Amino acid sequence: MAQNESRTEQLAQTITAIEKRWGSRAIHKARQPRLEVVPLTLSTGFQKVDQALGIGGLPQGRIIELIGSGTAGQVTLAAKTLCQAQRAGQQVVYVDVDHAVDLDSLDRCGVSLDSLVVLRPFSFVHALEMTRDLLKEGGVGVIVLDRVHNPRLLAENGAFRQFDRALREWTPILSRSLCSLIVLTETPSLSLYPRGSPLPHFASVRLFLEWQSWLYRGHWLSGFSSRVTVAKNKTGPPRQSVLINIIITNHVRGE
Amino acid sequence: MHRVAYVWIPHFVAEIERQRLGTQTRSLLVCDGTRVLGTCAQASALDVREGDSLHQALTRCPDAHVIQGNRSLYQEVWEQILEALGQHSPLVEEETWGMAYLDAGGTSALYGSETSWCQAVRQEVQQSARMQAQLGVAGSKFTAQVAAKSCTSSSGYQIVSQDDRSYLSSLPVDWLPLPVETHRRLHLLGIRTIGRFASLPAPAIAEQFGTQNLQAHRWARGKDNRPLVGHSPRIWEAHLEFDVPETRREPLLAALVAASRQVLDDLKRGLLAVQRICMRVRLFGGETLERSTWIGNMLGPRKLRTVLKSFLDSLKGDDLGIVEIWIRLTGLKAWEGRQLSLFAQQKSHLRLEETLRKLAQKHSPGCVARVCTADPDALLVGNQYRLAGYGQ
Repeated sequence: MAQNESRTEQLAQTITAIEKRWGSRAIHKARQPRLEVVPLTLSTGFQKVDQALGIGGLPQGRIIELIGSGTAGQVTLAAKTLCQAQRAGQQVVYVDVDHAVDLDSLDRCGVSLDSLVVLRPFSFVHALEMTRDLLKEGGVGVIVLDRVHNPRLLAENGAFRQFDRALREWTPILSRSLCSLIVLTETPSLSLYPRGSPLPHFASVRLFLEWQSWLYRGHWLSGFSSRVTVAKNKTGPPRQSVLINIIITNHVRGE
Repeated sequence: MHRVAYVWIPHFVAEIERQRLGTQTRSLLVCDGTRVLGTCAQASALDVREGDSLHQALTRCPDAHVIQGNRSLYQEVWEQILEALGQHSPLVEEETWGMAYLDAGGTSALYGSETSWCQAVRQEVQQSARMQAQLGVAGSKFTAQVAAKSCTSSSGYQIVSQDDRSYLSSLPVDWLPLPVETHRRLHLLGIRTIGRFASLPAPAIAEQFGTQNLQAHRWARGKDNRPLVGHSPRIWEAHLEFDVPETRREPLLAALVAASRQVLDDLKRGLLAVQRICMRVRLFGGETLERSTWIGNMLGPRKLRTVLKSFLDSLKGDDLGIVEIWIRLTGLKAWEGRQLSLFAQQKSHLRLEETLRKLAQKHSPGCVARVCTADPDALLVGNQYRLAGYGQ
């Protein structure tokens, strides 16, 4: 009897240790009802996109990839998400690989520049290293990695191999810290997506943005419409597609 | 006669989310990060409380639908309700979301009886926010609160006509805001009602349970002397009327900005923040249009001009003549300021600062940049700011 009790106690201690190290979802008793954990979400600022994602926004603690060419609304969508994250009291970091961040457009999207941190690495590999350090130290809610382009060069340099290793290392850290990583990838279409990129495997949500048409107000150009297709969604229904209007006046407005 | 009313909207946050989502069946948990911000009745019945951790709440209520809360939306709805309550009482003191004290003195003379006043207040809340409020009217704050929260009748209000002490005497002692240890000891001593607790002498309470329980003892005796503290006016309005219907946007904008200049000075002097700006226009054809936006911060002349311009731009067509315009700023309150907002997020902010310091040390200060003000008067925002390396 006493032996049984000591074993039960030992098992309880082991379970506690596993939960402490790997999280509460790592282990559960077969008879114990499994907790329905709805992922915490981060609004994109576009109601239609939030609805298309099925859970009301982008999942927190995951890797999100925004794919598209220039003027598809990638930066706008990322900036609007940063704005929503700041409103929720999170700290945000913008990794500017090309040293080409446009503060004006970020401000128009509602990002509070006073609390924005911009990392300006020397190269893509250096960006990976800085992001890894940032994630390991913690304290960040959303990171935008702007951007992965010129895939041929990256593949030749072996950058994708390092990217693969980095993503493998980051995924559990992101999950534990509830920090979201938004990666912008530049490609004109999904069929021309760079081969060898590890992002399709590691990203929980992949959104493909495609420019559709210009929007006019009278004779004046007031913005553009873009089609957002959910190419991959681990947390909701995939293959949803919505048309968003990005109106650019004094403030960028999404519809 | 001093009369206080307590308005309580049960599960305020969850009710707003239910209305927004249109779901009634599943239990709902509204969270703010990893903490529970609001719960529905089903979750409350399973002992889920506000402030619990999300994990703890999901353990108790595994079927719950979890959503992230929107504080600004709740504040906005609450401001609307406070404004509506202000039409029925000269003094409105907000406690927190969904809970407020009203001055109910002299309402019988205006409304015929306290019953009709209660019905009017409940109807007002129902109309302004589509929510059911519970009311308690008594001689003091604590009794009014107990009356509202213990009301079980379908009418949704409870009026305490006898004196507070005799009303409270039969109620369980659990209603009193006492520490858990005191409650445990009272149960051990067999003191189960507020009346029994009130009959104990005050020195004995101080000696046995500590002086921190004396306030609850006074309340149990019906001696709650806390005054009602009404808030300052939260609304500012301006009205412009045009003899000839005005179609040009620029003069309209100039007139609106000129009319708002005085209030902007007052807001700046009093360090007041504005929650919402509403604009209502009456067109030449008699049609009335309304536009509003959430601000939640200090309002400067440039920002006001931008908001008003966007309102005017959003009016359909350019040939509509405007006859009257009303501008309304609501939710005027003391500005918390940047310093305070920094303190609110101090923990994560300090952690990020530490991270950035390490990054700057390891890589290069130039690689970790902050946005600094370069030329605040520059027309383009891109020229107003520049990126500066960490510590530079």
